[in-house]
Amino acid sequence: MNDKVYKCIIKTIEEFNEELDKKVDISKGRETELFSGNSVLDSLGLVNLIVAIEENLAEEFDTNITITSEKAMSRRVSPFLNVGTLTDYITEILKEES
Amino acid sequence: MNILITGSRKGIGRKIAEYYLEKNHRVFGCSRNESDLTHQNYTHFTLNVTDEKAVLNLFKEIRKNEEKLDVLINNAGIASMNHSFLMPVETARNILDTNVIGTFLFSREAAKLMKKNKWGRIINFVTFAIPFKLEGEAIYAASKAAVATLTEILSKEYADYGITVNAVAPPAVKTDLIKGVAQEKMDILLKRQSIHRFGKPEEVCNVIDFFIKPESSMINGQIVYMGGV
Repeated sequence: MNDKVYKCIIKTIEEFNEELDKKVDISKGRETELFSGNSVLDSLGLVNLIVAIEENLAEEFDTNITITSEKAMSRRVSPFLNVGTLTDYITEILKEES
Repeated sequence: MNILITGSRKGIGRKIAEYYLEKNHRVFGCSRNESDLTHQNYTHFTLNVTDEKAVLNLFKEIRKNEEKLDVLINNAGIASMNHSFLMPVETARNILDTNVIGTFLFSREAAKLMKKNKWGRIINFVTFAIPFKLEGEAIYAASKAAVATLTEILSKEYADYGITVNAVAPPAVKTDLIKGVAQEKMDILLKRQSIHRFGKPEEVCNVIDFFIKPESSMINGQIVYMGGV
């Protein structure tokens, strides 16, 4: 499941990049930064990406997952740090849901 | 257009649903109880507007079957006229939850769907109890004042997605929402409006029509108080 989630996130970023001038560099794979000092995304960019990921997850996994929950916001290490942390977080909540 | 109306089982919400069905729009409605409204272009969802899981399911169904949503009308709301000394906290929470969180939840999920087509219209409902600072409606007016601010801020957050967010404050209309209000109080209220009569649901639809028409794409973050308040 973790791999499927990772591929879904990467696919979403690739679609998202088509609308960006400064593209998210996904060559770093799971280390690709999302919400950190080196990320090309500003806060609104991250919001839009999260909405897009939620939509693709809904299609891929037939789920109503909300990534921006209280659980996500209260973690000591933000799930939105990079693609890897986001993948692990989403996998965790999908497993809880099932 | 695909139009979603909350609180569509009775009152103004029901009239709005019937109005847009007559105009051949695809209408989705929802309420806490089942609806007896039957029409080939109408789909009803039975849910509480504060139930996030149920609300997400509603939008999932619309997304799967219709793929787009054009208009959201956040009509669902509750009130309880009480001096604040007599207002139970559970009732207060229920009012705030339904009116504010319900409106917020539906707006958030509708906007996510609307932004895919870079077009949308969200219409919220507020009340003349706000400018009138109506005694007996402290919590109801406070909840709708929150909806008014929500309208203004969401109109800015969603503008770049081609979505406008506006609100209408209906005049006094004879529905269940005011059936518990004494006639003398209603008479005083009608005198405070510059138009001294009850409004009709189709007059509320007139304002909604203005907000949703494509030519109104520059109308955003506005609140229309009906009845000359």
